Amino acid sequence: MYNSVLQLALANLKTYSRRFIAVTLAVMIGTAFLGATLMVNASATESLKNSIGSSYANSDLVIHGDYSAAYDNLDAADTDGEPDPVGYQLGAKALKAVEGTAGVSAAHGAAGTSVSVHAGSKDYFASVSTVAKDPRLTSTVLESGALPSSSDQVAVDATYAGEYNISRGDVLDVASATEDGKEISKQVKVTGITEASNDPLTGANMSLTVSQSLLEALSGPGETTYQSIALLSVGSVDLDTLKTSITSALASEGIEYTTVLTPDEQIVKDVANFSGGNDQLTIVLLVFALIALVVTGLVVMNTFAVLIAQRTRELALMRTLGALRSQIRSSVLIEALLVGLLASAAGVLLATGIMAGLIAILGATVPSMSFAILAVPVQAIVVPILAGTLITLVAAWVPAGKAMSVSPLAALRPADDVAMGNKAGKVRIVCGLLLLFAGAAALAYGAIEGDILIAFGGGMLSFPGILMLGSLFLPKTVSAIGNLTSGGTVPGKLASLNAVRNPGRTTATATALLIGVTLVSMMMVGAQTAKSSLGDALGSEYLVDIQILDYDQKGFSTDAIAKAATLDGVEVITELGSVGTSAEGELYATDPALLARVLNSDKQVPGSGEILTGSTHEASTLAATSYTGASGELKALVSDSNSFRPVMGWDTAERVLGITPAVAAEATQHESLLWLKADDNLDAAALRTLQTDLAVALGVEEFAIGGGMKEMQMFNTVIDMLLMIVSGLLAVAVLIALIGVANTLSLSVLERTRENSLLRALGLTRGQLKKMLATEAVLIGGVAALLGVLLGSAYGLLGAQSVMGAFGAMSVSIPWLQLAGVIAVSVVAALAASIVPARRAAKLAPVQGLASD
Amino acid sequence: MTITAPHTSTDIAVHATNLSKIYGAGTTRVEALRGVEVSFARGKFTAIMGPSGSGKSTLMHCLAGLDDASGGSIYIGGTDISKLNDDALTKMRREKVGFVFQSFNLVPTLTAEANILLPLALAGKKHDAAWLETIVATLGLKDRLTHKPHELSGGQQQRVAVARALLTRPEVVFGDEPTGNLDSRTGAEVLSLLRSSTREMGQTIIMVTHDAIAASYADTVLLMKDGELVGQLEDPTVESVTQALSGLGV
Ligand SMILES: Nc1ncnc2c1ncn2[C@@H]1O[C@H](COP(=O)(O)OP(=O)(O)O)[C@@H](O)[C@H]1O
Ligand SMILES: [Mg+2]
Repeated sequence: MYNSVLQLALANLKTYSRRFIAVTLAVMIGTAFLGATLMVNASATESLKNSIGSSYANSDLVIHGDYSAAYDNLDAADTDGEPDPVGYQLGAKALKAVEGTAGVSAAHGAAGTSVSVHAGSKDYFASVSTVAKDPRLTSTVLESGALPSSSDQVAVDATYAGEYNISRGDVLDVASATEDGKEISKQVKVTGITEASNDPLTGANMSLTVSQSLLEALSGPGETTYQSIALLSVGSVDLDTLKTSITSALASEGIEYTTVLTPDEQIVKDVANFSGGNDQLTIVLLVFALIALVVTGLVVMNTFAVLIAQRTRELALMRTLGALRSQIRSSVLIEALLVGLLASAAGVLLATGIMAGLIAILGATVPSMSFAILAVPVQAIVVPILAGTLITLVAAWVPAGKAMSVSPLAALRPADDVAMGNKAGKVRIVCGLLLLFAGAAALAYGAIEGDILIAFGGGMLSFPGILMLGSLFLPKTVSAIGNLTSGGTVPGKLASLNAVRNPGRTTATATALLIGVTLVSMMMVGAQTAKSSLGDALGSEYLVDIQILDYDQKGFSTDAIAKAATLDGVEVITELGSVGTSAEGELYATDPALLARVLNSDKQVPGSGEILTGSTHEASTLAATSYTGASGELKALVSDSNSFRPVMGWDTAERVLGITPAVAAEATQHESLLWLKADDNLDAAALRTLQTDLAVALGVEEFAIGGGMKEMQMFNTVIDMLLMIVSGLLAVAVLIALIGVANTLSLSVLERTRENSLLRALGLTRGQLKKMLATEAVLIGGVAALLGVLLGSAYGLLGAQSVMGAFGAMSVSIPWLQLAGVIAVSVVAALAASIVPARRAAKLAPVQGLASD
Repeated sequence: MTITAPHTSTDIAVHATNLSKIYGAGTTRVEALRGVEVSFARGKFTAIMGPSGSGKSTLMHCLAGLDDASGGSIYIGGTDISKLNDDALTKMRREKVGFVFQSFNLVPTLTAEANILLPLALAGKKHDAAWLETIVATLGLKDRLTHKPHELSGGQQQRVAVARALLTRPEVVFGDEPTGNLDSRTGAEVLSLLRSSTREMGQTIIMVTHDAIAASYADTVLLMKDGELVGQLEDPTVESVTQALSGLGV
């Protein structure tokens, strides 16, 4: 009997294979995302192993001096705050101790030095590695010629030999600087060419392989230090025991702080040092993969629900013919299992392909990444396949239950008698409400208190709550908006009726899209608000976009200033003249009207009799002395900017200190500077160009040009980049949801073949039919997008408030264009999703559809 | 063979000449209609009968503009519909033709009333309220107008379909086994309704059936076999129809 169930499932898959395309696609994309995420980490680790670890890959144990342990154990003798090198440096003494330890068959000290190489007429920088006594411990691999055997021979790596035109037989000068600053130089002959190094730590330099004696010669007598010591054991010894005996052998020589690790352990340590935040990246990516998978689950659930509904009569017939409930369910679950398994496997293949492609591109375009290789760890295959299959199975569980409960009688009832309607379970509504209220309260508290963690928790609770309540508001909204927009036309009315004829299906389809759109718009609104809030904070911190100093004190000519004013991106330019001094240092004056325009904060413009000071000034007045000896008191307007040149209008300078621009220009101490306001929309490149242009126009060095614009732009660039990456990742979830919209629609169209043919017979034109189906898709997609944008904006604002709370007032800023773009994309995609099914439906002659069962 | 219903050409509602329909090609080629010449008198109730597979449904589908004919011309109210494109044909259907199918006559999302008004709504036309009331009263649907199809019995559903077909005062109402899914009493009710709409409203009706009792409600019975018209009965009775059918070897 099990066999017949399997057969049935296979037959269904074969017969209706087209109906499974979208599910397969959705599961495939979701699992590919997960797979790729897992491969990112493994590939990074593997690439680094391949390169960093290559130098000690063949050894049994690797010994390193442990500087940080030595530093942690500083004692009174270390008066300079640095640990005594004796405790952690590996030298000839250490090598000897290791070689002398029982169980060690060979040991080799890897040089940690670099030298300069004089070849032809040029000097190059080279990393040095040495030939080991035991050839198994030599890390360089010979490509041609011979490894150096005496102190006047070297081997050069192939890449740099090619690049610098060095070939075998050439004579080079090799020089090194000793500790005491003396230079030791040797003339050597190139005897061999070695394979290029993969190590990102040394790969940037020429790699020079030398004999032990040359290293010693270059290091100076008794000065040789090793970066590490690699060793081979005699084989029969236990490595852990050997580690202990080596550590104590070294300690007895006074080298207390060392690590003795197997190559694998060492690689893990090196990779962790080198790649730092790799694990965090993986965790972040996994969160996005999880979102994509949840959306996938919704799409799968919906598809199976529709497929089961379509097969109600067939299932009922089977029940009549004696199929057990459990057999019906098994057959549906086996279908899900097979689809999930196949789609997930395809997803892993897709992920592998994409990652291989990306790494190939990376390796080819970024020279320093040429060591990158693809690693597909077992878990990157197993986990996505398990997750994809499991999600498909779980998502099919509820529809399978429905299939199981089809009564044999249903076979005898006409298909269109099957009652429509779908009620949300009470439990789900109660849970949803609880989550929503608890979450909303936490969110509100987090926003008010400026606690992002609490707000985040609130979001994590309330969003699933809202999704659980989806069946309460999604179909109603679709229907309401459908009625509003139908314009009284029959296709419009039919579309809005169709869009909600199966509320459960509508809810699931819309929910999938809602998730993606909510998250994307949350990020957009959050980022925009954060940007603008930071912009305000930065605007009062960095009051001036660009400040140009007059280092050589020659002043700026009127012509040069006029020319600078015409440059692209310059909005306001004003010259500040020095008028005197105060407790706050040099005082400046400039044209009051231009000053008001050049400053980035409206609230911080000095009025008549006022001087704008840096935030360090505390008093409400400032006593000033002019160059002409006059003194007066100015009202202080204290800005938020901490390094700021006090400035006033010329009117104030003349009235209080009796200094006019003309007088100031005469003064010997005259120093002037320029303040510029630049176009807010300049991007980083345009700003750099402007800087260069300004330097030329004003005849100053580029370093004389400063100001807050660059800092502000850096903040914005970072936020924009984060937003782009996050949106890109979330786009995967949106894409899957859109596939779901297309899928639901095309299955519904299949299901309604007869109905649509009836409408055609009764006078619905092809165009009207297409319009009806398009409207239906747009209604579901549009409403989901609209609600998602609203919800996402609320989350974004609350989230930004809870982050910014700590920094000060939030300035609400909604990226209208971007949000409209999100809605437009969803609507257009939904429209596009309706094209194929609508075309198929319209192609059918009315009579063909009427005949179909 | 040419058979013309006994009325003058000015009184012809539907007319087909040399109508042929071929399904498939090669070994699967089926000639469902072989050069059919037929005219249907205005204001008459005509039944088309014949053994299963004789081409009854095909003929009706072609006449009603639901399917393309392979050859020949079809005139409905003087318009050659074989020359119309799909949109024009669709508009012709909603204005000049009414349908009652065997099953699945109604759009499940719409109420009975909305279903009745559907062709007019699609055409963007106002309905004649008095006419609607007359039809609804005649068909006994007054209390059922706000019901959805799944809340109606089979007979009620067919009556809603009849009301829809009559509301536009079409040139012709086509029925393909309209009583095939009904019990005999409900079937008789629907057939009486169709007959009285011919008698009292002058409605032209063309009905396909394989049931001799149903055919006996018609004014004329046309007999089909192997894609051709092979006979005709005026003022049929159950007996005369049964006899004529057995003459066809059924
Ligand atoms: N869509 C079709 N494709 C191929 N052959 C068809 C199709 N529809 C009907 N036929 C064939 O055309 C002939 C007439 O069919 P039909 O008009 O349905 O007969 P009736 O309604 O009298 O039973 C039959 O031989 C039938 O097999
Ligand atoms: Mg038939």
